[in-house]
This record gives sequence, C-alpha cells and structure tokens, in this order.
Amino acid sequence: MNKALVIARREFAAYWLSPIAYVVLGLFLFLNSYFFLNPMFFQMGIATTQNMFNFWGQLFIFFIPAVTMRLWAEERKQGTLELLLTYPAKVPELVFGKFLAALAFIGLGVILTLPAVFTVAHFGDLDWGPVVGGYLGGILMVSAYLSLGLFFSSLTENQIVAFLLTLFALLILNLSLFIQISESGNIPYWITWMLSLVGLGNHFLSLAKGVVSSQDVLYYLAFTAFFLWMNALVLEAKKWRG
Amino acid sequence: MPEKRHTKEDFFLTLVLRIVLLCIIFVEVLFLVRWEFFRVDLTQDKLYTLTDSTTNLLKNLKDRVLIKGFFTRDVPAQVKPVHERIRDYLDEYQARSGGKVVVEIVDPEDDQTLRDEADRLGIQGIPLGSSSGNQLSLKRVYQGLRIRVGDKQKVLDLSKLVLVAAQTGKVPSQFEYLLTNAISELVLKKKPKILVYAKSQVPPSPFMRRQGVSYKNFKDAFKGRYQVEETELKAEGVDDAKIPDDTDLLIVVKPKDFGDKQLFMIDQYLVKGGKAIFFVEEQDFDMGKMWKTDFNAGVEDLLKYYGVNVRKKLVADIASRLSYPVVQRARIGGQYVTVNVIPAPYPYWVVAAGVDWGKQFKKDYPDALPGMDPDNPAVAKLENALFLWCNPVEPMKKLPPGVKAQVLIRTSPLTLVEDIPQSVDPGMDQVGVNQFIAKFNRRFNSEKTAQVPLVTYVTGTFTSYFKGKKLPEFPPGDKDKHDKKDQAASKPASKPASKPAKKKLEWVEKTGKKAQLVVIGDSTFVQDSFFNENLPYPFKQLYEGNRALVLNLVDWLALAPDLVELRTRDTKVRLLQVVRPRENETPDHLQARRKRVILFVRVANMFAIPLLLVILGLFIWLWRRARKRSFVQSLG
Repeated sequence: MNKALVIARREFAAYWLSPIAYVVLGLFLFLNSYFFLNPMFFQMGIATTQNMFNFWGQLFIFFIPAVTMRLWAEERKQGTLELLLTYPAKVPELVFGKFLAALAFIGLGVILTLPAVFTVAHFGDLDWGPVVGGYLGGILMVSAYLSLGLFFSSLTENQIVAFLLTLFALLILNLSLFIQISESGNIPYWITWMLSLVGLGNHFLSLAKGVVSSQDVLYYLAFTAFFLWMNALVLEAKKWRG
Repeated sequence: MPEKRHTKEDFFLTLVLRIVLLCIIFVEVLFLVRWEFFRVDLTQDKLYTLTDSTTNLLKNLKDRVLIKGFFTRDVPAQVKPVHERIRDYLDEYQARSGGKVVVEIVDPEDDQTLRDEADRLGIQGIPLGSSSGNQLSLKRVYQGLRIRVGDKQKVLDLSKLVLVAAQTGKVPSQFEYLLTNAISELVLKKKPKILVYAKSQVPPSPFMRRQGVSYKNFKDAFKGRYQVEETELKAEGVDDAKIPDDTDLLIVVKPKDFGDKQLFMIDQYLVKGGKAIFFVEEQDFDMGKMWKTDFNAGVEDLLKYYGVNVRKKLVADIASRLSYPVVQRARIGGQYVTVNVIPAPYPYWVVAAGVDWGKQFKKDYPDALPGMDPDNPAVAKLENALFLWCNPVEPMKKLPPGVKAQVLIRTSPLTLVEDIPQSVDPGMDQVGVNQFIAKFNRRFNSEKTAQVPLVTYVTGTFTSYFKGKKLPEFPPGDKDKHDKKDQAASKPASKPASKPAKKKLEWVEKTGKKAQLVVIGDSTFVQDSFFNENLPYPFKQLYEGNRALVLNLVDWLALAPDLVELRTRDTKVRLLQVVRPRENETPDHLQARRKRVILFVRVANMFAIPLLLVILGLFIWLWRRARKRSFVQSLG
C-alpha cells in the first residue's frame, strides 16, 4: 500500500508539470459554472445543486477518457512501461498508484466546484444532504470511470484508441440515461431493465438526490475493483510476454 | 525431485481462468447489490423516505404496475418544483419496487393523441399563466397519472394538489398517500372491512324545526379504500350473535339504548383483539333541538370496564370563540322573514386545536398539555377539530390490568364542565344572547377551568365485560331451525323426534389478543349537516379538520399507522432569493439590480478559479524554469 501511495504521489506531481492539467481542470470548472449557474437556473429560483450533478453525469463521460487515455498508453508508446514493471512494486500496486493519482487530480477538480455550491447556499436555504450525497456519488462515479479508462489505456499504445474505447464504453454504460423506459416502446422491457441495472449514471443520480444506498455504493466499488483488477491482469500478461 | 518450472502456457491458462472467475464474481456482485442492506436519506425533510407501508407494498408486488404520467413539461416557475418533486416520488417508487413499477412520463402539450387520452381519462388540463420574455400567456397544463395493473386502472388528477402546493410553497407528501392508496386498491385482492353502526333518523314530523339525521357523507368517506358494511348490531340467533371475524374495524356512531345483546357482540369482538371507534354522546342536542330530552347511550358501563369514562357532562370551552348564528325573525306582511343574524359566542361548540397550551398560556397554565397528542400519528399534525355539544371522555383512574390509555385530543385550559343543561339555546334576540354570554362570564370568573379530554384511546388485552355476569339470551336462530327441520325430515315418522340439544352461546373470557379502542365524546360532527364540504366559512375549514381526524383514526387502526402521517406531512420548497427588496425600491430597479448580481455571480464563478489555476500554472512554470537555469548555471 505504501508503494502505491509513493507511486500515486509521484504521478500526481507529474500532472502539474504539463499544461494539459491546467487546461483540463480550468475547462471543467468553467463549463461546470457555465451550465450550472445558467440564466434558467436563476429564473427557476430553486436553491438546489441538482442541475450541477445532472451535468456531471454527462460531463465526466467526455472528461475522464481525456484524463485516462495517456496513463498506460503513453508509457507503452514511450517504452517506459517495461521499466515501470521492473520497479520493486507489485503490478496491482502500480495500477492502484496510477488510479489514486488520477482520482486525486479529478477529485481536486470536483472540490473546486464548491464555490458554486456556496454561491447557491448564500442566496437560498440549501439542503446540504443532496450536496453531500452528490459529492460522494461524484467521487464514486469518477472512480468507476477512471478504472474503466485505465483498463482501456492498458490495452493499447495509441492514446486516441484508448480515448475512443473508454468513451464508447461509458456511453454504452450510460445508455439508460438517454432511453426512456416505456411500456409501449419498441425496446423490450428486459433490455431497459438491464441497462438501468448496469447504468453507471443512474446510480450517481440516485446518490445526488441525497440518498446513500448500499446498492449504489457497492455497485461503484465493485465496478472499480473489477476494472482495476482486470487492468492488473493485462499488465501481468504484458510482463510475462516481455 | 526437479523443481517444476512455470511455462508461459501455464501462466496464460491461469490468467484466462482468473479473468473468467473475475467476470463471474463481478456479475454476481452486480446482482447481489440489488439487495439493499443500508440506505440513508440525507435530505433535511426526509424527502426520499417512503413509509414502511409503501415500501412493503412495493416489495410485495406480484403484478407489474404501469404508471403513465401526463405532465406538461414547460410550466410556470412556481409549478415546476412541484412537478419535479412528484417525479422524484415516482422515481423512488420505481427504484423501491425492484422493477415492478414502470413509470412513463408523457407531455400531452404537442400531441393531440395524448391530449385526447388525458381527456378521456378525466385528467383535465387547467389553464395556468406562463410568462416568456415580457409576454404573459395562458396555457393548458396537464398533471395527472393513470395507474394500471392488469386490466384494472385508476386515474389521479393532480391539478388541485399541485395548485395548492404551488400557492403555499409546500410540496405535499400527500402525494405518497394518494399513490400508495391507488396502487393498494388495484393490487389488493381484498380491501379491509369496516363495519359501521350509524342509524339515520327521519324527521319526527315534517312540521317540526328539527331535521332528520343522516351519516351518508361519513360512510362514503371510507369507500374506495375500504369495504364498508352497515350493521344494526342485531342477531337473529346464537349463530350470528357476533361481529364477523373478518371485520378490520368497527365504528359505532351515537349508540342509543344499547342492551346486553349489543354489548355482548361488541365485547366479544374486542376481547378477540378487535379494533373499534365509538362516537358517543350523553345528550341529543342538534341545530333544531336545543332542549334536553332523556337520552341513554347504554354503552357507558362497557366502556368504563375497558378503562374509558364518558361523563354525563357538557363541555364548554371559552377559548373556542366560535359563534352560533342567532337568526332574528319578524312577521312582515303575514310572513316570518329573517331581519337580523346575531353571532353569539358559543362555547358548547368546542374547537380543539393543535396548540401547545402550556406555551400559549405560559403564565396561568404552564403545565397545560398540547391540544393534540404530539406522539400519536393520527392526531399529531391536525390543526383543529370541531366538536358540537360534546362530553368529557376520560381514561379511568384505575385501568384494567394489561390496558393502557392515552388522551388523543383535549380542550384548552379555559374549559368549563357542567351537568347537561335543560337548554343550550343562546337566545332568540340580542337580549337573550347577552344573557347567555353574561352567564358564561359569571361562571368563568367563579369556577375553575381545566383541560378536558375529548378523545381517548385504550389498548391492551381486554377481559370480557360479561365475566361473572349472566350472558344475554339469543333465540336459537335460523340455522337451528333448519337443522331441526332437516332432522325431522330424515327420521322415520314412527319414531318420536328426539329433542335437539339447545345450542350454547359462544363466549370467551379472554384471548390475550390486543384490542384497540378509540372513544370520542361527540357524534354530531359526523352528521351530514356538519360532515359536509359545502359548509360556509369557518365551518368548511373545521370540516376539513374533522374529516382528517376521522380518516386518520380509521387508517391508523384499520390500514397502516404510518400512512396516516402522510396526509398532513408537507415539505417546503427552498427558494432562491438573489436580492432582497430594499425600502421604497421600484420593481424595475429591483429587477435591474437582480440582473447585475446574477451577471456578477456567473462571471465570478466561471472565471475566478480557472484564472487562479492559470496563475498557479504560470508560477510553477516560472519556478521550474528558474530552477533549471540555476542548475545549468551551477554546472558551469
């Protein structure tokens, strides 16, 4: 675990050496405030952060692949992956270290959205329950997205391919957000039901309402653990192949 | 023995096995997480905590429940949060049902087929004002649900509920009550059964002022959710000398001259763990009858035995301040016409209020208790209830073993109790009214006032009232007669028919089952003339309180205790106030200031932190460059 933390610290520090980190975070925060505190929000006149969380569900589908695409793919392309695999650390520790660093980076971005929340609290009687649930759900959802992104990044040395694979997978897993469950629709009920079961975004929206349920928390934890583990297996295979 | 070397093939075989195993575990976990073992609702108003009744109903659904919501999407700002809250509820129903509840929301605004469907279902679009830019326009707003289970369906038009919520700024959780009840009605094969004893009275004579007494509205109030059956508490014989076992609740309204046979049936029902509500009076006053006549309910001893004492006294609450309209008439042109209506303060009409009397009368009555028991779900949230010519209903000082009592509703501390007077007429004219008021003023100054219980609840294991008493004698009954006929027909004529054994009355002394009994010291308020939504102000408001009281008590005892609370539990809408109006500020100025503040807030939030990030990035870049330079310089 300590080795994972050392790797995470090193990786996290490395983010700030590139201007991409500032661009990504700055853009995320700009878009977050732009869409959340829009004129319609003030016209509605309700002190709620629900709009922001709804927006996160869609925003992270595009942002996370951008962050994760380079994490393993770049190491593979530059040939530093083999060097990394010779470190005195187990493969799962390497994976977890990279994951923690990416989570800290996106987590910082999520925390930096708090001024927008305080703005709403200043102008109205904000219910903090959904805010706590939303941030918790946000971190859990980001963890799940990151683990998926890391996994796809480990499969290829092409960052664009990694980006597209992650984006496509996230869109599939969030289809339930875009499909209306209908008794009379053309899509069979069991498909919509399955989509709502595996739908990443659905679980987040439930948490963002202020309801913390074992169903949602465990779903994200299981999803994250599964893809981190798969990532480790892919790297171990790579290590053996040499 | 040579050490076995792991080959690449071994490794990849292991890898594939691990991946397969991992996938199996993941899929199992996905299904496992459908089982919810913890759930915390973090919202302040517990918005997403459905009651246990709703949750149990949803978990035990066997059939699919299809809910089609007709909601206009583009609605006025004040209605929007109410619509959103209703949709949240629907989402919660869907989530808690494990896929059994399917919700589809449609907007009939731009779809003629959907509009026709809504109209056909009785979901009336109501015209509401909507502003776009500087223009104000009226548009038809739909808000209703069609709930379907198999070939049965129920429609809820939510227009009234949404409008009230939009006007009061509160989002009613009454929606849960309506929806859960509607689903229950559709999925429950058998509705709870209520047996009602409420004898209507025809007018004694068409020439008398006194009108007849009817309880139709009262009985109709339960139809839909309950199977309501009327009873006269009469038995043909030994076999039917009991209240049917499938009765979920017995309601007895204004018992009069009850004898041993009726008491026996009630007693045995309660001893076997029955639930009952009694509306008892010790007098027979009403709007057309202000003079005392002999009246005997006949249930006093039975109720006393269970721990409730209905006193033969009349309650007068000075704090009620409800007026009796004294109509003055004069003979003009050979006919009597109304010339004046004098509002006479009338303390015999007692308005019990959901007020903490100890706080209200801190100085004189610091120990006074709340008007409505705050711990009882049926009355805790009630604002008021009107009792007309009512009697004190007190728990007995010494309760029977295994029985607990609780006062649900009590009067204000400014209440007088008196022997039932010969007349409760407030007078015919101003002089009479003045004398009536003066009488109460005198009494108020000379007598001690105190809170009086009006509704009392007792629960526990009841022992039969007939223990050690002679059981009433019922005729043999039809069944016995048929049996005798059958026996006579089957036996040869030559043999003399043996005398059939006399059937014994079934009686149990105690069962150990918990009975529940609510006794209310008034029945006049459930007569049609007062239990009626077309009453004038302020009776209309008081009727709403009385209706809520009655329905709450019935639901609490017969259906589900926690559903009751929903009828009065509301949640508030959290409004955003960007600017507060200043003194003498014109609306135009306020609007302009609001726009400026919004612009500032948006710009600050959009650019402040990204700008700080850019500055931080620049700083780090400069710092790294400086370090690099100094390193290069140090190398020489």
